[in-house]
Amino acid sequence: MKNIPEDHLSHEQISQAVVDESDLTEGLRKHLANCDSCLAEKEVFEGQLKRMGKMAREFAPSFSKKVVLPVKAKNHAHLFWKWNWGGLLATGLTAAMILAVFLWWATPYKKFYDDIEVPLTPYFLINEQLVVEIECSEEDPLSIVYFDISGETMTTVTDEFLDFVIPVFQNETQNHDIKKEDYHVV
Amino acid sequence: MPDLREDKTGRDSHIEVLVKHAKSGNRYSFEKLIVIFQEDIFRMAYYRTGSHMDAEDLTQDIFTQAFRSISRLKEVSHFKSWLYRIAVNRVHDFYKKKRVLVFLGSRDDLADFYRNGTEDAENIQADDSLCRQEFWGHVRNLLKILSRREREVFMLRFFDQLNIREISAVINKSESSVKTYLYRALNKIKIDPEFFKIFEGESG
Repeated sequence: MKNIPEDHLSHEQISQAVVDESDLTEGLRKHLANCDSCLAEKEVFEGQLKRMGKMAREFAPSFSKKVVLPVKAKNHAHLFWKWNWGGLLATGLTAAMILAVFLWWATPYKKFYDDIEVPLTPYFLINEQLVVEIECSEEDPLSIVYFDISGETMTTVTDEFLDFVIPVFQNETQNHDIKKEDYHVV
Repeated sequence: MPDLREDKTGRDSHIEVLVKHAKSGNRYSFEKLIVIFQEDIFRMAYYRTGSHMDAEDLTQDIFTQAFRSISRLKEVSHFKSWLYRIAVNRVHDFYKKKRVLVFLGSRDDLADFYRNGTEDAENIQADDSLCRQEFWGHVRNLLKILSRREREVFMLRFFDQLNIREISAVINKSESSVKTYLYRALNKIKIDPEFFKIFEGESG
């Protein structure tokens, strides 16, 4: 005699078994396998559904026309899909990457140039001023302060005055040579 | 009910070869596929429209669309599911157009046909037998309590004989969702044994 566990399956559980028996719990599956009543209920329901499907086919008319295919299958949608969109996309991405690399390379350079130009400007100005002063000093070795003290102007400086300021050593050498000559004579 | 998944038979292999050739542009192979599937697709359309003429027009549209887009089919083994998916979409389009034409905006795509039941004489062809009309009237009454999705899954499973996996591919839902819809539908449906006694012997 079969050992049938628990109560019989409900209509919902029979429906579940009809859809897919493996979805039932282990206990229900065991019950269904051993209970003649539940198994019969399930088989009757399955049979009714199958018969209904079979009758539907029998009560449907037959297809009497002939399917006519279009002469040419090509249309715009077809051409759209045939277009090599993958290749186009790859080209676009490559171009975008090249542009991105170029921008990345160009932008920092410009920034660096701007950064160094702005702080150096005052130094250039100072240097330029210094160069002007040096050039002035080369032309007029005496400082302007000297002219202020002496009351003279730059135009009044004569060669005689310069000889006075800068001693002429050449004359002394000449004198020395004369003395030497004198000694020989003696 | 055990899933109607079949092992790969000679017929399936033959269909796959035809699909492969049709995919590469072979018109003759596609015409052979039409011969294999035209009855199933016509019946599928008839179950949902109840009109011989509309079902024939829809069958023509379905195969035309399939022919135009077969190059985009990825898996040759999924041809049947793919074809039924086109068919289901075309039937929905048909109801959308019809709904616009007759200004029945408040009802869903397939609901009109099933809610109207036997009184929808427009959908029944004059040449249909009385018994056929009566049968489909009973079926409509039986299915009108189901939601649109439940009815669709139920019909695909028991009328069109698709398995759970194929239905899941057709309606683009997971297998567990398909099972849930089917389970809900079966819970609602109560088939009177008298139903078969009336029509058995009349069919065919």
